[in-house]
Amino acid sequence: MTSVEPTEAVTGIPFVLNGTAVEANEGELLIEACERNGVHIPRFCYHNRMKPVGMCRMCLVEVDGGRGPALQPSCMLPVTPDMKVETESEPTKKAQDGVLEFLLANHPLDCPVCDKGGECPLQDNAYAFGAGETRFVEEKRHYEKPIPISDLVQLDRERCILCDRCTRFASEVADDPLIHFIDRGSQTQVNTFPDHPFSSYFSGNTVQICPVGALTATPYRFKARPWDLDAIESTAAADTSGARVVLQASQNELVRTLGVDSEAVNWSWLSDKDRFYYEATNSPDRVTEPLIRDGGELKPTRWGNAMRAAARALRIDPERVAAIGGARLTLESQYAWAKLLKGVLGTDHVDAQLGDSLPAALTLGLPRTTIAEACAPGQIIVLMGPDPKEVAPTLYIRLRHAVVEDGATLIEITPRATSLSKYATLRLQTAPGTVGQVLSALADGQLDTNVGTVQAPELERAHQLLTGDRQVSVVFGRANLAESARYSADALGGMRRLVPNAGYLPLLRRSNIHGALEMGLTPGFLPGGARNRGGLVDKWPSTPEFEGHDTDAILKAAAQGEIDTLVLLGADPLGDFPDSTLAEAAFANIKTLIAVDGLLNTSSARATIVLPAALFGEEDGTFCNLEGRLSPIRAKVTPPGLARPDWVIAADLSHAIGPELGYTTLEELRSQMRATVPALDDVDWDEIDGADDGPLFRPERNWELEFGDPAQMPPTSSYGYRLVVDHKLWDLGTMSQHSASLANLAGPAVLRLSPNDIQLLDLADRQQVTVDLGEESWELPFVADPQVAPRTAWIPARLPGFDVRELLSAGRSITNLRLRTGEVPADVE
Amino acid sequence: MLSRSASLTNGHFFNAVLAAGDPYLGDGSVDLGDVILAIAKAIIAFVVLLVAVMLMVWFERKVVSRLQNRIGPNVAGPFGILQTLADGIKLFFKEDIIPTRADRFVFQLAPYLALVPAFLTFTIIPIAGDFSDGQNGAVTIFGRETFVQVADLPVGILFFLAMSSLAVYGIMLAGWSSGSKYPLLGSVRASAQAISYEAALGLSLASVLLVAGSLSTNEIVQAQAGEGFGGIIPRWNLIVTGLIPFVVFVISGTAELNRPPFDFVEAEQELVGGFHTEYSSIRFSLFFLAEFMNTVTMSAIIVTLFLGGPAGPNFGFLPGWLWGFVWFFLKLLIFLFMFVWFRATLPRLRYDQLMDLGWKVLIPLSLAWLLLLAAIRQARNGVWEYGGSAFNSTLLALAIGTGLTVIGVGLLGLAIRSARDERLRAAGLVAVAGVSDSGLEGED
Amino acid sequence: MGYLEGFAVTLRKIGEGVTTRSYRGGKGGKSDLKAPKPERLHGRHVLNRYEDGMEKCIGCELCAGVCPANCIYVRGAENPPEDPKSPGERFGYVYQINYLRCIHCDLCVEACPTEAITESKLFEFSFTNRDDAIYTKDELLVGDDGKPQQLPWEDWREGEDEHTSGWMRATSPSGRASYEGVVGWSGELGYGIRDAELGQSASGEDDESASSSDEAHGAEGADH
Repeated sequence: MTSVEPTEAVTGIPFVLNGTAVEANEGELLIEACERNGVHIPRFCYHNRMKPVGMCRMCLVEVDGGRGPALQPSCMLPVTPDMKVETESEPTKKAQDGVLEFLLANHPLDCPVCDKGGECPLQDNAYAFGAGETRFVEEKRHYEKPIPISDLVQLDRERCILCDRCTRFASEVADDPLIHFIDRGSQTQVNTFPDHPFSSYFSGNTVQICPVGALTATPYRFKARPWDLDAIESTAAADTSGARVVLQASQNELVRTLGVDSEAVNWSWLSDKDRFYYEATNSPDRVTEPLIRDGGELKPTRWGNAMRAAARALRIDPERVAAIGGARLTLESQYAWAKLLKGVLGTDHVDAQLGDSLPAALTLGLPRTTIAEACAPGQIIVLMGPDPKEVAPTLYIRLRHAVVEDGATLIEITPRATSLSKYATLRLQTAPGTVGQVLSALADGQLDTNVGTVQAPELERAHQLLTGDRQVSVVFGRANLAESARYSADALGGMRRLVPNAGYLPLLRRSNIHGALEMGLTPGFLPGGARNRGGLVDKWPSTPEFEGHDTDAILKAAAQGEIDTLVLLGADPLGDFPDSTLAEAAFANIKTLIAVDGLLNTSSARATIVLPAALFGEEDGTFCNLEGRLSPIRAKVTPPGLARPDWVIAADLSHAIGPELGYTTLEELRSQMRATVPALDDVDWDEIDGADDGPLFRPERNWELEFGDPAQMPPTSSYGYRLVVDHKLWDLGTMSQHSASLANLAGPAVLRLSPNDIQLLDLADRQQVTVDLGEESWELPFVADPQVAPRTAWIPARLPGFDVRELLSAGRSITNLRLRTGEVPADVE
Repeated sequence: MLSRSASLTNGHFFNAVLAAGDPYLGDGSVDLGDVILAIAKAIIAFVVLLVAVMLMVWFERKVVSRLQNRIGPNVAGPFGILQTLADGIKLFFKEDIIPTRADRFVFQLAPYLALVPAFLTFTIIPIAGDFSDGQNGAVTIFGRETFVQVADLPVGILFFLAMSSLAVYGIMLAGWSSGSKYPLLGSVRASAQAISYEAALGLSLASVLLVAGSLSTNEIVQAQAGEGFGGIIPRWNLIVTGLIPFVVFVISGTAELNRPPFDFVEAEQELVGGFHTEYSSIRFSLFFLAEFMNTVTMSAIIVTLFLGGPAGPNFGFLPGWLWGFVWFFLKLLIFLFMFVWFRATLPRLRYDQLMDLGWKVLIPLSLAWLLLLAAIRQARNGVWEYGGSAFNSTLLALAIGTGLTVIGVGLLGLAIRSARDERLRAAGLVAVAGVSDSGLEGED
Repeated sequence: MGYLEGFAVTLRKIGEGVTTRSYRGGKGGKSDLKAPKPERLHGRHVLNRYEDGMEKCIGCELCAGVCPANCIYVRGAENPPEDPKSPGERFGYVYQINYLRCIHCDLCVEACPTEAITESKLFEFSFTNRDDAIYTKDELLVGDDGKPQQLPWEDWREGEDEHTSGWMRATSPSGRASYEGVVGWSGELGYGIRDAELGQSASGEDDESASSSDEAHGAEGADH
């Protein structure tokens, strides 16, 4: 009851909790302070990652702030000094009783059929704090139930206790305010707007935070009960942000994924892809045994045969062996394959990126920052890449929070507007091909002339902001597949000159791409980001004697017949490489195609040998996210049939070829990695397993990143429309297509044009536009999109309906389309 | 006695073969017919014994069930008679396991060491034959006169004692060679039990021998076949030796057989299975067989020694020797039932109680009785002449003997009691040293 | 002497006859003396159906969750709209009980919210291999006549399939004798709504005059 008078600066706010003097942190809410001091206050609507609203009244406790005791919602009350809090007093108990009785009055008796049963806060609180008997004998309210509010989420309005969590999440966190309260009084219900399903990329989170079974996930509906589930903490490997998850399985089948609150990365939020793509692991189309092409068809065979055939194909001149892919693998598997390809076979034609990204040297060489540092309050974030919401949705949530809540300043320098554009302080619309010169101009201080479509005043403002004294973090990536990567590289060079102490966060596609790059699955680099012929001469049997090709060059060389054996480590060049013609030509000339994958995609269906690999949730390993943070990937189920983890396949293949890789267990592989890569030396894998946030992997680079002179901007064309091609979260990717719930979420490929352009082209009453490129023409559906800048056309890649890659060609600087209505103009004919 | 039959012999060659074994046989007095007869008798005896064992097992199971208000085996064959056969076949098909640490040769040998002595003992038992009117129970087969027992050794009873000692080897080696602790414990206990009760067995046997005057089973039976007491009560050794040797022999015999109430060595609650824990399949069935064979044999011995064997009145309408078999069988049945009755009624004796009984009660008792009998015999034979007649001498001997026995028993009792007090005092010292005092008041 | 009395005891038993009951089903001309079983004996389970034929099981997995021997495996599924198996959204799609593990404690019967799983009186079902030991839903569900299905190795007698219903759970809900005589369970296919059992209260009188709240409670239990 006495308040403590400290002699030094007050770090905590003293208050009295149930008669004991305790301390709270500055600005802490009462509910949190009590929790930290060991007293749990029941709640429904409060969530520690969202702003409190005090809707449910379950957290009412008796608080005496100096004017006598009163029941107050502890989730809305910051702790004030000398507050007296009673959580076990009679009025508190009566309040808890009453609130529960009211909540249960209209709550249906659905527990046996409700997915939430067994892990339901309403059940638990009713059991712990409730009365035990109901006095409600009247008819409860009825709604039609359940209604699917999106492909992935179902809503049961009878069960909803109107806590506002889902609606707050949708508007505050996900920025997709598609779900809200409608009607009033006792008829209040949560619902979507007519004709607008809850198709948010984050809809799965509402299922996790809903305290009752009102929102349930369709993939998990009726699948299992909490007591059936066997869980392990892992990392979602759907994208490069590395959100922490809990994998749950029942009867050796993955059943559910829940988000884990990781302070550094995802704050308990997951994208729907992170959440539901485990279904691909359960897919009935899994490759369960080695396949070998015999008489034109892939036939099952034994591991011995497959290994011998593969070894024969690999034991050739290393300059004729290439490997594409590796981002699907765990860090350990990536190291193993790098050692096999570069150390044992001696080939440097290894690339984990499929030509739709930036050169590895940029990713490895630019100084990395962390998400927390980038999102630090009041700093500057520069976005020079694709839309984060499509590529790494969890990063998008963090960036948005930084900008909206924490006062960070966002500067966007992109060819099309992104989901963050509305929060940007400054947006530089850089037409395709111009971004390099724009940054050059900024770096050189030439701020008085327009550069491309960027006006001088904007340049001025940008320069002012960037050269201020605030820390700048740059989120960069390949914003446009239809323009050469050179421009983005130039832009980064310019940024380096402009802000020498900026931190960089690469926004690349594919999951463990950073692990792949760090472990040397890229030409010219060895594990630890060391350059060839400088790093591991004494630790590996040998290192490649030549500088290898990246994917572009590999496929070009293959098309010219210089590559005999190609290994695909979970990659799909035929489906994913931007230039499909080149990929086809390359595949036609390759003698042996070895695919190491768990599912057959377009490319591996053409393979000569398919080695079945374990997928997400079936093997142990480590994930390296875009910050370079290591987090554990754990196995929860066993691989189907004869499938094996990739590092096991690498060891066996090496044995079949001749030399051993030198490990038989994962522990031995890890100690090899520790011995070879100095930055891994003090990594304790047991610690990573149990840690909330993993350590950062920041190896020393023994080389300097150099930028050449920026390329010239391509000449402007008066009637050309520059094409912007990027990716959407839901596309025809292998994992999405093999996940039953996600397969149909990919929207059709539609060309998006600015309304001005549509008017100019006189396309207002049409559905299709004719696109000319070179000698060819296509008829494409189009739609007006105010976000698209004039003279630009935007169409995402890898969507059903039209393969955009027909419009792309490797090596082209920009893609200039000509659009017309399709009627031949009278004067031309 | 053995007649020649020139047509059945091969003459010199045969004699030469026999002489190679034993010159005594090769002098022409043994011919092929004798050898075939001997072999035939052995085979018949073996078959009879095996069938008897099978039936004994069935008999035991059925009777024990009836004594326990239940039916017993009734599924395999009519009245469950084929149950033993079914069990045997089942055991044959089980996997034969030899533990890693077992001594293979001895492990495989031990069941036979237990089995063979039982059969061998049976060879000296007269099963049938006409002993009435002073006959010696011989029958004529193929013109040869022979007893209805496989062999009539002049040292038959000694042979029996020797065989029962050999059977102990079987048990002891079985347990030791199993290479595991429960069998070892079981076999050590079994062998200790067997040799303890063998002394009592031998001493009570000695009383019989004293009275019968011969070691040959045939002669013992003849001695009991004569005119009874008052023409009604037969001259069985049961009565002639007094009742005590019979009682002691039965009890010691039960202990030798490891049958309840002395079956501590096989008690599942204590020792899993005792010496036959590690045995399975055929080897286990051999032990099982050996135990029941021993039972049958022991009963037969008791019948032979104390109840006169096949001796009994001949009532006509059956050949004389068959009457012998009938009497033998009926008497045997009584003892088999007795053993089963023991099993159904008596709780198991604890090991120390068992040893107490053997060493402290039966051996002194049988020894004292033997001495008493010897004294009476001497008195009756007129070695003493006191009071003028053999009868008085007998009475005097009896009185002195009884008095000495009482004194002896008293002294023995005193010795036992003082040993117990000593034990308790030693335990009492421990209590004084600080451990709690409870449970030491009184005894047991 | 005292010892020999024991012998007399055992000898007397021969005269007393045997107490073994033979129930070989009347095979081989033998008598069939299977002992009558108490009414609420815990035997083999059955999955019940409502009077209109709908399955009572809603696949909620409560029985599997409470089972101390982990012998029940349940998976629920969405009721196909054109052919619903149970009233409501969810039905038992997979339902298996492994009788090698079941200890017949009937906690599952207590836990079931719809009285779907109850136990019959049969316990003489000896299967001969492990696959047969796992009874699937088809085998456990009552037939179209409402009676449990008899599998080839089961030894049924007359009357053992009775009372395999919610009636089993308790004729006195909440264990209170004041509910005696009140029907608190739903109807069964083939049997209808069984009558309430009487006679639990000490006086042996029926408590017909149940209070209104009791009736309401009973009624609520009945129309699930």
